[in-house]
Amino acid sequence: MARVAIEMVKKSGVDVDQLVELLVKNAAAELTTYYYYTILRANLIGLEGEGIKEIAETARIEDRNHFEALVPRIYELGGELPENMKDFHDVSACPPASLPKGPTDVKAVLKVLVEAERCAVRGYTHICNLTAGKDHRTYDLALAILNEEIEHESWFSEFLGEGPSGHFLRRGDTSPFVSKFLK
Amino acid sequence: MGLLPCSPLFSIMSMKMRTFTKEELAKYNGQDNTQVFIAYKGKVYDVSNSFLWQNGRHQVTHVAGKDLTEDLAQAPHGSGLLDIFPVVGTLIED
Repeated sequence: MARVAIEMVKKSGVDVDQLVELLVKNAAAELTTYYYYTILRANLIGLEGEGIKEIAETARIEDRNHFEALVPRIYELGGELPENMKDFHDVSACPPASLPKGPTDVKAVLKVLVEAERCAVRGYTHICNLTAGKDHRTYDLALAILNEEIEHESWFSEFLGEGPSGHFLRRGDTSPFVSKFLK
Repeated sequence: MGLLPCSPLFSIMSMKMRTFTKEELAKYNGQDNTQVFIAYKGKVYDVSNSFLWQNGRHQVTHVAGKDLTEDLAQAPHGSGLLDIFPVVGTLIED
């Protein structure tokens, strides 16, 4: 726990208990998404699926990175992770990104992926809005994650024919925005 | 043949045209009732089956059983997300 850091956040008008709960819920969303994306990635096969496997894998690894980056902030602010995995799963800020009924339907898998990313984009926008100009460290972290979630959304959206993402695939390391919180 | 009052279909149909005061809506907050309702621009939506409204709370900062018209204006999403939920009535001024 970082006593003075908590005091500063409280003094800025942020409800720390509420913020910690939000961070825990979003950490849960990241770790469960990492799990569900593992299943989705495994099912992205065949001529259509193979082309999407690589970005699904990048998004999967980056979502795990988001979980890793959120956890220290939760404890700094006096919070903690739930004792068991089931509770953690059930408090997730986003619905489970479950494998669709037709697992070979690549478009259906893409819709699950894009909806998961859209939920994340909304979630981190919410945290940024709550902390902007108040809790600088949480804002910086949430903004870094938001940048990556927006990129994930645009990748999957592009494959759904909604328009170009404007991006190339990652070159080299993952998490260009969040990596500073992982060192 | 009429529907039996105890049938689930009867309760859905009788709920359909229902009007709610703010006080009545407050009972559907997910704490005192397993049904979770919220109001937006005069319509009352049933969000009981939403993963994102478990226990009548949404993203920590919003609670059910209320008119969320003003809250939604500040939310990081539009009202279109409500379209998937059934409308169960209208909210009337007390």
